[in-house]
Amino acid sequence: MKEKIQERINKVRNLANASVKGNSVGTSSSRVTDSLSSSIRSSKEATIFLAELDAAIKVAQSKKE
Amino acid sequence: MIIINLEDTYEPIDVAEDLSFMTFYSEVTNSPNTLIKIDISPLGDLHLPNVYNMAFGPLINGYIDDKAKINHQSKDKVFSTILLFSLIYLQSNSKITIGIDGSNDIRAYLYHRMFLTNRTYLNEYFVTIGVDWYVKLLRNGDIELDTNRQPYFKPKPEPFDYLRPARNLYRYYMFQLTQ
Repeated sequence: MKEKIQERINKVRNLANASVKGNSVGTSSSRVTDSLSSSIRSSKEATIFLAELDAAIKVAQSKKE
Repeated sequence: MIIINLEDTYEPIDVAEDLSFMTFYSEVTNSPNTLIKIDISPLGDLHLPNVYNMAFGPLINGYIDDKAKINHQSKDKVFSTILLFSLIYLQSNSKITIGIDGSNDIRAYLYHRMFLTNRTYLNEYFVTIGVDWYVKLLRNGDIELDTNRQPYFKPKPEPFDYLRPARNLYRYYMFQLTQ
């Protein structure tokens, strides 16, 4: 990791560590629905999708090596 | 064209303790600087516990307006800030895959061009996946239908195809930390 990038990462992390719970702009994270989540209709579909995602990630990783 | 440079990002203003969101000010042409919020939240699907959605945009009544059109002075710096925050989030949550919805053509085109143009740079940090939706062709020549007699589309992920023309957008983009 480049030093300057690490410095920027540290700055964000330090701000997060100093953050007081519930005292920040906006609402806290909640579950959202997007085009992927609205397309997964059952645990079987999710299992298939996640297996395909895992395989795609492995292929993408191997292409980089 | 968007050029990502994680060394040139906007200063964070507010960051959640659990890193679920960050805000920063973007410089806007002919307007005051705009506060942008990046939010990383679990998908509303209990079957996909490790897939998180990333949204960003200005706040309207406390909610992110992710369809807002803003004339950012530097899209490069805005997207570099968003990706730096994603990197930080993924470093703390390494099993998670972040998804960004490309249902809006303008945004999908931006994401697509961003991943394409910055392939070598981003490959150092992220693995990128594109998702298309397909419907099954049955042996009798019909297409598979759902219970409402509509085409039964299913999402299918693949490694981001960098040779695919930019006009052939994915509907959904995903990325996770390079292992």
